[in-house]
Amino acid sequence: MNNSRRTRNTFESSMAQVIYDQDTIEFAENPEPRCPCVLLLDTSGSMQGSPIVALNDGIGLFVKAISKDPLAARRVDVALVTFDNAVNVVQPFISVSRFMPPRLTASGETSMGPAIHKALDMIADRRDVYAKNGIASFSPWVLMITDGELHGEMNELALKAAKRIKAAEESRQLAFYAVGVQNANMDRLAELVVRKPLKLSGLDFTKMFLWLSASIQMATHSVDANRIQSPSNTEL
Amino acid sequence: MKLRRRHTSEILTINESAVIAVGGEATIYAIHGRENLVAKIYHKDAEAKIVKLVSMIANPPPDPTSDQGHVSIAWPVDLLYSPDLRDFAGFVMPKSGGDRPLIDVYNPLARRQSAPFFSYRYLCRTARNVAAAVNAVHLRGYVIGDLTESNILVADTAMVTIVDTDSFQVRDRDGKTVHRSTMGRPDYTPPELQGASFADIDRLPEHDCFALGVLIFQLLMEGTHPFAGEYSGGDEILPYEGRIKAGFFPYGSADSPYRPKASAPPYGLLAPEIQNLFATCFREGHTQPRLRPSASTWIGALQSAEEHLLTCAANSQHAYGDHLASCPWCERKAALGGRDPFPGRDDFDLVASGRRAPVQKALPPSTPPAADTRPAPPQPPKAAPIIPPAATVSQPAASSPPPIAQAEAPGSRKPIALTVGILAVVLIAAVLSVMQISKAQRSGMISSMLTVADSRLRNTDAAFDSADQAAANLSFVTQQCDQAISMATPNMAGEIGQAGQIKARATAASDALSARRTLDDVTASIEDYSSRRLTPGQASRIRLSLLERCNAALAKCSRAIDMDPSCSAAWIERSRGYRLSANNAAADSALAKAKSLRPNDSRLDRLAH
Repeated sequence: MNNSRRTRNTFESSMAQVIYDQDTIEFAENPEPRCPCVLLLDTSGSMQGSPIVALNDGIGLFVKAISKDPLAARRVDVALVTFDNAVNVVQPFISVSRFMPPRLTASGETSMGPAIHKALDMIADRRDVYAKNGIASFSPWVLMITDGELHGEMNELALKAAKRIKAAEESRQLAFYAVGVQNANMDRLAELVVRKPLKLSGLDFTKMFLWLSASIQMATHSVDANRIQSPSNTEL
Repeated sequence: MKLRRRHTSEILTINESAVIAVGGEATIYAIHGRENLVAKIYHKDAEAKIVKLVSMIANPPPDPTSDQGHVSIAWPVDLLYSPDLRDFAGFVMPKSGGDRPLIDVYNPLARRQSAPFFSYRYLCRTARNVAAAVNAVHLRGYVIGDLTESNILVADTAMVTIVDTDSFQVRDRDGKTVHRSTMGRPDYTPPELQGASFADIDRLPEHDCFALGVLIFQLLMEGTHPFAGEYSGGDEILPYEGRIKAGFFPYGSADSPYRPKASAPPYGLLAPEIQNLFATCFREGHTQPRLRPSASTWIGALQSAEEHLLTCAANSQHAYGDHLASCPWCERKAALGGRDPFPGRDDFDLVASGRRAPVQKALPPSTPPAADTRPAPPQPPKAAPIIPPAATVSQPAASSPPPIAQAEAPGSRKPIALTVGILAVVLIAAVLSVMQISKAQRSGMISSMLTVADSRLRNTDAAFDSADQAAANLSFVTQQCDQAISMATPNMAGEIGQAGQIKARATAASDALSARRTLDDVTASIEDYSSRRLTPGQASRIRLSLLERCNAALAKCSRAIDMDPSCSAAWIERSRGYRLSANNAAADSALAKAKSLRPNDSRLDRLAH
């Protein structure tokens, strides 16, 4: 018998003490529905120097802005994935109120295709955990920031990633935002995602992360993420 | 900014540096020299609101707590214009008595961080006070519309204030014009309005009664939404609004494909009468909205349920209905691996306030129904029985330790909490030295200190914004534990063990924190060295030493993770995060660089593992 889960009304029907597993404790202490959000960040060598510094600042700002909203702070789960030569899960899903942004460094090439797959896999796993624990969830968010482009042609992996994004967006199961900085190949990004990629002029991530936190806040208050408007390029 | 009140012509000076709240359409400011009033200033031209506001100002609902000096409904009292009366700016209203949204007391995690001593009895009282405030609004024919946890603020005394009243639905006195409420949140919207456009419909009190049912459910069931549940069907899991629309209330009905969550408190802890009202609200009320219990029905039922609450012998913060054979909160605490949903404080009060002499302690004030419904005797403050059922947390007396980190402004919370904590320690030491205390009292005091330490440790989880603050918190926790151990007599093995355990967790947390600092240093150094011209020999020596520091940090992370299985989950996750980022970012790049310089150094291979 699985004793990690409680049966109903144990305190009336039996004297056996039940102890919850870690997931159950997390969801018992915070039963709010969740909005999973993946920050998918390019940390290839070309981001070295001021871009990576600006990015680190932006992440800190994002976390603070969401944590200030009592409701969003309980509802947003955030994960941080970087991609350079490899795909790195820097922070698996964690409540935004407990997320302590690490300091990212930049080096190596850009492996965007596998990174997108990783982010989508993580979201699928996280939603399974929610479902298993009876936790309702909002449409997941991915924010990808890159200054590069895919290696060579749209390879098979990238094509598959684009298909997955498209299918999930069409069934309203995902909001995937791509942001290009500096010399990013915007046309190539546009082939990859459904929503129009955003071009960031300069390195001011401040407005973009504030927009993201405000949008996620809105989504967690109102459920319908599809009402959220992308900022226009002039706003950024 | 100076603005003129339309009716009194008084000029008010808005304190623009004292922002109380910012919303989508307006900002709320304090007013210089007027403690009890605040100004809501619209961001854009809002002349369209004037007619509605004038109608509201002329016909306020009866505030059920006006004789208690508390504002239950933050109702507009006058319009604000530019001093020349040309431009409409906003309105003045009384300052809210509450200071945090309901989620901060019903969500167990949020409650531990912001109001750890808000007991179950207080939650029941909060539910009743919410019903009383809603009832007062309905008495005057208003409908709230956007009735959610965010729009009700609660004070430490369990008194509540409904805010955002200018979004209510208001019917002009002629009875013809209706100023609609265009707001609403899907998880509080009744089935018949799901998917509707709020701008196009007149709202009814029974719509509010659905939201009221949801709020009361959340308050009494540890933040569980009444439509939350585990899905047993095959296809897609519906969001709350879909389940509300379909009527899939998971409790006590066989036809819902959603079952109560394993992690939710047992439904049986609710008084039978309360369970019946929920069934009426969410099951019968699904097809017949008018059957939903009214606010005044809830007031009566909640009052009766409160009268049937028993106080747990083990922890007086635990209260449960007398239909139960044992305390459900003790059981839940055990299921949660020792995380008490309502940590105790009575022993703390008892000792610090002197003897067991009965102390005059007010219950959290009740909100009686307004006079023009059926009259109910207002509940005066009562003398506390031998074991105080609920000490009012907002009454710091010279002889009683102040509550922990509750009443301060958010920004100043932690430093003040630290001071308060240290004061408490000093106070206890003083009390100890002048009093011959019994073993039971000593033990109670120690366990209170440990509760404080434990609560601080958990609060530290959220102190992501300042490593220094986290370090200060952790050192306080360690100090508190040491003090508790030194107070314990040798036969108090349980207390000593508990103190040791909390201290071990604090040490693990400190390790994780210092690991993070080291990794930050290492990362910064790597960036620094990468940009300097060094000879290959210099570079490799420096990088090797960086790598060793990195590994030392990793070892600390591992220790934090391995040290204690009950080590706070957040710290474990965070340590893993550091370890990962150290592996990925700092270690890998340092290693790669060092290796390229010294391909034959076997130490590097060893370090790589």
